[in-house]
Amino acid sequence: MGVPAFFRWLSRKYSSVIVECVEERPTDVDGELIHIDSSLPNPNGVEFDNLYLDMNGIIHPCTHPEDKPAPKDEDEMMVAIFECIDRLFRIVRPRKLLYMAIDGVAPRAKMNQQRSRRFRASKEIQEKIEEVARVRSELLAKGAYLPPEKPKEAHFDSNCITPGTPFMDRLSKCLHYYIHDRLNNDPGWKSIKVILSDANVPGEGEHKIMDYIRRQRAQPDHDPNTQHVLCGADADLIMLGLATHEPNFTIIREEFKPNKPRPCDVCGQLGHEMKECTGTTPDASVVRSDPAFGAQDNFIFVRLSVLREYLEKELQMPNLPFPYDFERALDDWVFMCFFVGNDFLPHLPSLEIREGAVDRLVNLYKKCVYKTKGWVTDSGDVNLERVQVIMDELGRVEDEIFKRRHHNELVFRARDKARKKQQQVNFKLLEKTQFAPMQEGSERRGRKRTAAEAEVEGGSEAEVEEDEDKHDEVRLWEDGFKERYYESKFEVSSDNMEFSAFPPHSAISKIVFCASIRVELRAAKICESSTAHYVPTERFGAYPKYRVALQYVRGLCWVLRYYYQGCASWKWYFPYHYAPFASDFVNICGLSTKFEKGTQPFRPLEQLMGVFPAASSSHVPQPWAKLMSDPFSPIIDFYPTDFKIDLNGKKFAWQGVALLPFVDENRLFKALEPYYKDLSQAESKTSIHTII
Amino acid sequence: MKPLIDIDSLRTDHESDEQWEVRKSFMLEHKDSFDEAELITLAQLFTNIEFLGCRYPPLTMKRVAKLAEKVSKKYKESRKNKLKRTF
Repeated sequence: MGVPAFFRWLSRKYSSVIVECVEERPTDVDGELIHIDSSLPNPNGVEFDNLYLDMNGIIHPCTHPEDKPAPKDEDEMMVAIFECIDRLFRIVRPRKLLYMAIDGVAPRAKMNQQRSRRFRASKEIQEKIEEVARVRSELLAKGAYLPPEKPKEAHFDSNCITPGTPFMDRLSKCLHYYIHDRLNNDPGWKSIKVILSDANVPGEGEHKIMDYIRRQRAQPDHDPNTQHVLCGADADLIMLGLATHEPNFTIIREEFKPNKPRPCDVCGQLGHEMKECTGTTPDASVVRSDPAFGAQDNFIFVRLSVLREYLEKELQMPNLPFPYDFERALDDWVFMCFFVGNDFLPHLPSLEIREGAVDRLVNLYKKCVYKTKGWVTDSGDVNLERVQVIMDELGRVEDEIFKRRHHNELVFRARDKARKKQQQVNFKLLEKTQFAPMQEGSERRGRKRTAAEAEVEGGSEAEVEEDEDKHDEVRLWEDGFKERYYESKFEVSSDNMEFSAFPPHSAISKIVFCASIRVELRAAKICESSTAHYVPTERFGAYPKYRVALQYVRGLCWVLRYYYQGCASWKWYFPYHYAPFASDFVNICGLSTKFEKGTQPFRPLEQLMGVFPAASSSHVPQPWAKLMSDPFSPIIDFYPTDFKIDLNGKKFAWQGVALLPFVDENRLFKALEPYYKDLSQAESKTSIHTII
Repeated sequence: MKPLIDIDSLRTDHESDEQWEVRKSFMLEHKDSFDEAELITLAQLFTNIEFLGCRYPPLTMKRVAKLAEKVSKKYKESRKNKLKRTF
């Protein structure tokens, strides 16, 4: 869950969860930096045992920082990564274990998101290059001074931070060197165990860490008072930490500072956007001297033990009809949070963190527990009957949520407009005074213009008003939104939505649906009794919205299993671009929550072919690159050169849905088969997994 | 002789009736001109362009446009009064 909104919500609501780290900075002795000896007692007042680094959270900002000048070359990148680890090490000072986990090949459920991110990154870079060139040529034509252009090859393609690329291989080698150096030379590293799980070990970094912690907990000699520190900025680390049930779990991350100053992409100066750039002067290009820029951020601790105390209060449910157990309530809380955002499913249209979705869900949940007479989850398994009760409740208020959202949006727009108007000089007030704006020429002409202008202004305002909703064809706040949603987003014509005649909660629609649920159950049985691929016999066709909802429920089960037990299936993924509505969750209790057993992760090189656009083909083995761009390639359909982003009612492109086709893995492997023999020895080595 | 292609076996689990109809008619029209693998690729290209708005290398676009002339017209006709995504 990369959503910053969740973290912001959490740090506002439970503010004392967060404390600033005490960091002893190096001292300058005759121009040489002397670092503190990390074997000395920890000034934070806690002696931590284990430090886990989710390395991708370090690699990304060190290789292409948003708020600092970019490193000159790969050597500088590696040094930046080493320094970052050193810094974290000196703050945390682990006494027993340092575990560094680099993302390996991810489950298929996550690969779709990775694919979308990488295609978007390529598209954005392309657009930015074009925009910079345009602004530059405009400014140069006006005679402004600009710093010389960056050479093309200097542009770092962050897509190379993906398992299986030559860059990741070099990074792994550098980290090996780094670890050996520190073990030999740094007193703080003397007696600790160091584990590096590199990109060739399958699994996302944070989940490899979780697997490790789970294995430790299962050991008979595990110390229940172990002090864990996990480093990473993703909000889902909070859920993962809570899911361990370890009493002493802390997350360390950079202080959260939104809207950090960014240098202009054209002239490199701070304080304006590229669009407003007017050029610079030859000696003004020293952006590094600006104190606001590149200043080192502080680290903060997110203390999950404190969060647990807060949640213990929040999740109190007096007079339950069954014995209360906080640890179980906590697991349910984690599950509820998946509904508002996770990396594997699009979030439900009615749930926005900014609109207090977590609180709404938790309140609903607490009410429902009295009805369901039991917990919703059990060590990673989901009780669907109880989820149904919660979804029914949410479904009932869904329309209201959409209406209120739109109402708030209108109020916001009106206020925004009023403010803008206030800031504008109202020339009409001056019209008949001597200060009236006058064109050169007769007074009559001048006045006529004013009237005409006013008209044009009025007209364009109305147009703008209409414009703002024009790009939202679904209009969730108006009746019939559901039909429009499925018609537009799923190509389902409304006459195929048998439910349109009945309200979704009526008995009739449930009976209609039972027929298809039975088929689903039959399919589920086939799945349990054999290892065959899960093939529902009844297809998407007749009951599209329920099919989407059922896949979504399977997704929720998959995610919870992933957090509590490990990857249930490497193959499963949510096969749609959009989420269903809460009110589409009907009769979900009959659904099988079993997943195909014995699935294997992609091999690193295959996965590269599954997540990269053709623009990043330089990171895949040469013989394979052709498959991504040859117009007659058997898998050319996986690699659109351009694609649409559906804003889906949102405001910004990054919130929208990238309409990319899903990769058919069987076709991918078949297309690669003839080319394996062309791989070099080093490449063949990357195409296998190592296990740690 | 070219082996017969069982078009109905090519339906995927998560395709809606409407989407499948369009893809199917494309494949039916061209099933005698291509082998199964290529037919699937071409049909997928066509639906990605038509449903999702994807763009491909110029040569690919031209090729698909030519093959899809008939089906695409029929599809566009059927979606005429339907709600479409706005971008």
